[in-house]
Parts: sequence; structure tokens; C-alpha cells
Amino acid sequence: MTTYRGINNRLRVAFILFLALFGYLAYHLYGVQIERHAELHSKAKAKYTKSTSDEGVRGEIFDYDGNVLVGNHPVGNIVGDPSLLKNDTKCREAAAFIAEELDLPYPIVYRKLARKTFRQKQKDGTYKLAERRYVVLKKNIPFEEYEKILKKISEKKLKGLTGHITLRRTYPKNRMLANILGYTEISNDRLVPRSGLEKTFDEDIASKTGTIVYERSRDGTPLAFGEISRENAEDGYNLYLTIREPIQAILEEEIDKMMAKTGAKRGYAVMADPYTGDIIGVAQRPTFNPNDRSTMKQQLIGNPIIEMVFEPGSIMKPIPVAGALDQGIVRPDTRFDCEMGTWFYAGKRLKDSHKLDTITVSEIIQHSSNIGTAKIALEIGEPRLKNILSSFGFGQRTGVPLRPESRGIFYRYVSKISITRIPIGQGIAVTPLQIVRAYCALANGGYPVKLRFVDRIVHPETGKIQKIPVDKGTKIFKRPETKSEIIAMMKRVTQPGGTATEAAIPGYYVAGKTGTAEKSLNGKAYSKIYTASFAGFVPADNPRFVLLVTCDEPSRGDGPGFYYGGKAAAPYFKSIAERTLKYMHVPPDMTPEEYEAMKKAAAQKAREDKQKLWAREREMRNKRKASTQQQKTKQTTLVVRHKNNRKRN
Amino acid sequence: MRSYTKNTGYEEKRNRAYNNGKKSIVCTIAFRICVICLLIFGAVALRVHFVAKTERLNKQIVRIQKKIKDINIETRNHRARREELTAWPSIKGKLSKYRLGLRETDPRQISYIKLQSVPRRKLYSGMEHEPKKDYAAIQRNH
Repeated sequence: MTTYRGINNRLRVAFILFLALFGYLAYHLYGVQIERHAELHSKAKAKYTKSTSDEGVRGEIFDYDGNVLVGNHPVGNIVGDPSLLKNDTKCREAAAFIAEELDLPYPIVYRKLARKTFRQKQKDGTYKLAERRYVVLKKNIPFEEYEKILKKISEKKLKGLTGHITLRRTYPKNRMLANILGYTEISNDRLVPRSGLEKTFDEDIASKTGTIVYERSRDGTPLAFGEISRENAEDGYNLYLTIREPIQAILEEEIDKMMAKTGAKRGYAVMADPYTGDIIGVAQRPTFNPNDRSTMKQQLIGNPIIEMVFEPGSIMKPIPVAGALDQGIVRPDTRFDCEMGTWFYAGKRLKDSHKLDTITVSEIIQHSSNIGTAKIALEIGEPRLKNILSSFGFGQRTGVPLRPESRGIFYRYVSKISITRIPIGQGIAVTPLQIVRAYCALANGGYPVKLRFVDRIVHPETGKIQKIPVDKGTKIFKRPETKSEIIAMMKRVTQPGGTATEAAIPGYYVAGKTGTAEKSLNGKAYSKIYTASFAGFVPADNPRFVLLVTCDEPSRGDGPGFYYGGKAAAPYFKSIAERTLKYMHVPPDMTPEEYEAMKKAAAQKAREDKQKLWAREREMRNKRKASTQQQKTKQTTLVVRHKNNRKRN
Repeated sequence: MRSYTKNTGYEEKRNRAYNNGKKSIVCTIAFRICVICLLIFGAVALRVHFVAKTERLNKQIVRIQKKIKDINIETRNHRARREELTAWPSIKGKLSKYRLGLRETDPRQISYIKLQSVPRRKLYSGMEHEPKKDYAAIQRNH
């Protein structure tokens, strides 16, 4: 029988045992919770805490109406986990599948999947063998193809093969506007802009990487209250350009035609809204396809319309003439003697392409007389001429958001003959955009409007719009009649008798000016290679756009004067402008019948002018003949007299 | 012999009351402990229930977020494809491939109409002439 004492003893032993156990537990707990706290806490934290970084989406670039010009296209990447393919048969099976599906060489895929370890550099500089858990088998697979492959992998239950999607910068319109948009490259896993608007607006369109640190459950999902820190990723802003994609397509197509027909080295077409300064379209050749890196060469990725300068030639003439009209120096009917095509100033000869007699200022523009324009410039005087040209923006950057932009060459090498050469577009070098800006001022009544490429910047989530303001500048023209007078002169250029009848559009009045500039070789001698241009605006009296077409170094074409602006560039001005007017639903200025009548009248006037000129030429020739005959008779009488005198003597 | 009588009634009563009181205190304490345990259990069970529910919802959120992400990716892909297909070079290629006849428009096909008493558009930039963008059908000219 157990006594009370026995029970008491047992209880005591049990109590002591429990106490000892608790003591041990308390000691162990002390060790775990206090002594090894830091070590164990960091271990646990490392195991259950996960940090994921989330790349925001880079902003996209759209045209004015929201058509994507630069986007982010999802592409798939197939990756392998060699650590899961321990069995060689499975490894071979996976390699064979991938090689067949992705059209890759089997030995390479197998080698990638069979290497289970790699040398990993430690913090102390030593190396240790680590398990290889991630190997990229193929990158940038088209999304549909990627989805199919992933489906097949899950159907076949292939272990160790998986995939993930990344966004790739794509240019869905390929070559369209490539130079302006620019391109990006991946450098050190980061998207780096290299040129164009991608580079200029990188601060706005670049995304911000976000990081989330959280505690996760066993299956990897974040615990509900386990978030430790969060820095949200931010998508980049979207850019909306002033470009209209359908019009841009017209420009690109016509410039391609021009390049093919003229065999030109380079070609540009720039279209702008003269009232807002919006660049509606820009086509530059040669260009590249940003989706195909093999077409990208250093010399192709720039923007010649702002980087390259050229002697504009006669497309410059309306600007000093407009200045002279505005300052009351000349009137449209003021007459200048064009010296029948050859004139000497400061000992240097200046020639016209056609022989011209005394003609009005309007006819000087119509026939593109160098001598007439030079004489007008002499009337203006050097300092005023310089002021007029700089008020139209020559010698200054246009301020478009593209780099690097040239100022051009403006009054850098001044000589005695500069005053006669600069107004005809020689001895001055401009960028195509400077010409477009100057013509915008002519078209809108004298406002040197600031050219814009970007219309608005839009927040991708809130849709908040930041509008780039229109800057129309300070008005140049002081006389309100200047606009209509210069436009009336420029209209005559495209009418019968003008230098650019091929730029005429049935039903519309076209105001413009041709330009043919001989290129100088190494900045010295002229080289018989030309830059042919045509700049103008339509409809002349209420212009919807200003368009410049430049054909650099045309090498073939119809007829002997194929390199003239009226032959190489004007026909493409016409086709671009005509198609654009139709697209914009611009009603014609006159009915077809009225147009035909106007054309006939202009042709009649041109014929009459020519006849007058021929008559004047005949008269002059006769005068010259008569004077030479008179001289001859004088001489013969002198000789006869001399002989008679001798005989007498 | 001296005899005395002891009244045990009071003591018994007291003992009984004491015993009864002891019992009731134990009972009360036990009851209270039970209630506290029950409350703790209830609270813990409720918390576990809510945590489980939250986790379930959390997983659902993750699933839906993934679905949204997938749909977004698919949308992006379709949009990129649409942009490629609607670009003029692609349309032009289709026109020539399928020999689709496109006729050039002729100004003679159009008849123009004149506007009567149209409210003036507010000038945008204040320049002399703005492009007239609006015209509507009221009266035919010819």
C-alpha cells in the first residue's frame, strides 16, 4: 500500500523534474531568444521575407490622334531550371523539345540544361560552386508563339522549363518617323535612350522601378499583413506628338518615290501648321528601321532637318523681298533692270538662269531673278537686310526638342558681295526647319511661330494633361498688306510663266518658291552638284500647311534641267500637298472651270510677257547691229578718207 | 457527574456554510476561468478565422492581379498588332496583294455648299487668318 509519504516523495521528484525541465527550457529559450536572436532572426527573415522589384512601363509615344508610334510589345522568354532536371533522360527530353519548338541547335540547348552548377563569387573574393537554377534558352519570342510553347510544356508536363513575359520597345510603324522618334538600347539590363525624342524626353517617359519587401507564405504568396516596405513602381508619361500619322505616311511614300526617281543622295519633306507651329509630318531619307538593328548605321540615325545645313538657293528670295515690301522700300510693281541675265557687282559676275529685262518685283519672284533680288537687297542695305533675316529666325535655333541642333551659317564670312549673294540663298547655310519656320511666318502674316513636335504629355493613370503651349512670337510685319502682297507674288511661281508650274494643284492657289543651289566643294569651289528644293503653302490665302521638299544631289531625271527645284522637288510638293488637302477635306479655292480659266489667262500673260521680252531682245539686237554697222561704216569712211588723202599727197 | 450538553447545531451550520462557501468559490473561479478560456478560445478562433479568410482573399487578389496582368499583356499585344496592321505600308501591301481597286478622287465629284449665318469660331492663336475647319450643308451652290 502506498503511503502518503510515498506519494509526497513522488510528487516532489516530479516537481523537481518539471522544474529542471522548465529550467532547461528557459535556458534554451534564453539562448534562442536572446543570445542567438540576431543570427536566427536574420535567418528566418531571409527565408520568409521576399523582395520583388517591379519595373514600371516606359511611356509610349503617340501621334496627335492617339495612334501608337512607339509602344511596348510583350515578348516571351523561355527559361530552364537545370537543378530540376537531375535525370539525364529528362534533361535530353526537355532539350529535344525546346530545340524542335524554338528551332535551336539541340547540342547547345542540351549543354545549357545539363550544366547543373556554376562558380559563384563570394563577398570575400573566393569562389564556390552553386546550383544553377536559371538559364535563358530563347529571348524575345513573339507573344502568340510563346503562349503556344508554354501550353505544350504544360501538356507534356515537362519539368524544369518555364517562361516569363517582358515588354520590349517596339516601333509598329517601322521606318516611319524613325529619325525623329529615336531608339533605345538595353545596357546593363536597363533601357537606355540613344537618340531622338526618346532621348530628349527620357526624364518624362522613363519608368520608375518599385520595390516591395514582404513576408511570404510557403507557396510564395504574400501574407496579408506581412508587408514590410513598399515603393510603388511608376509608369512613364505618354507623349502625344503633333504628327498626324496618315499625313506622315503620305510624306514618307512620296519621298520614297522622289528618291527612286531622282537618284538623290538625301531627301527631306517637312510639313508644318503655320498658325500653331505644329510639325504635321517629317520624312527624311536615308533612314533606318528601329526594329531591325542591322539597318542602323551611325550616319543614318541623326536628324538632317536640324543637324545638316545647306545653301538654300532661291527659296530664300521671298524673305528679303517681304522685308523690303514691309519697310516700304519697294512695291510689287517697282521695276528693276535685270540686265538681260548678266550683271557685275564689286567685280564679280552674277547671272540669271533666263535673260530678263526690266521687270517688276512680282516678276522677280515669279522668274526667280538673282539680279533683281540682289538689286532689291542693295536698296534695303546691309544692316537692315541682316535684321530682316534674323527676325525670320535665321542664325538662331528653332528650339525643337531634338539635339544637336545647328544654328546654320549666318553672316559668318562677310565680303563686299555678301549683300547680293545672301538674299539669293548663297553664302548662307540654313537647316530645313529654319526655312519651314520662315515660311510659316510668311504664311501666317508675319508671326515667327515656334515649331513644336510635342503637343502634350499625359499621365498614364490619371490622364492628367500637360499641354506644350503655342508660342507665336512677336509679329514681324508692320504693314498689314505685306502678307497679301508677298503671297500674290509667290502664287505666280506655280502659275504658267513661273518656275514651278509642276507644283500647281488643280483647284487651289499654291504659294511657293523653287530653289536650286549649287553645292560647294570643301566650302570653296562650286561643284556642279545641286540641292533642289521647293517650299510653299496651300491654300495660298488661307494656308493649312507649309511644306518644304528638298532633294539633295539629284542625279537623274527627265530633261536637261532635272536638278532644278521646279523639276526635282516641285512635283513631289504637288503630290504630297494634293493628297494632304484631300485628307484634310480642304475645299478648293475655285471650281475646275475657274481653275482652267485662270490657268489660260496666266498662260496668255506669260506668252505676252515672253513676246514683249523677245521684242525687246530683238530691238536691242537690232540696236546693237545698227550701232556696229554704224561703227563699221564710220571706220570704212575713215579708211577711204585716209586712202584718198594719201593719193592726194 | 457533571454533565453538559454541547450545542453542535451552530458549528454544523457554520461548517456546512463554510464548506458550501468553499465549493461555491471554487465553482465561481472555475466558471470564471472557463468563461475566460472560452472568450480567449473564441477570440483566437475568430482571429484564426479572419486570418484564414484574409489569406484566402489575399490569394484571390494575387490570382486576380495576375489575371489582370495577363489581360493587360494580351491587350498590349493586340494593340501592337492592330497598329502594325493599320499602318499605311501594311494597308498598301494588302491593296497590291489582293489587287483592290482604289480610285483617285476627282474634284469634279464634289459639290460644295455654303454656310449661312454660322457662329464665328473663336480664334485660337489670335493670328490674322485661321484655317476654316468647319463647313456644313445648308444650301447647295450648284
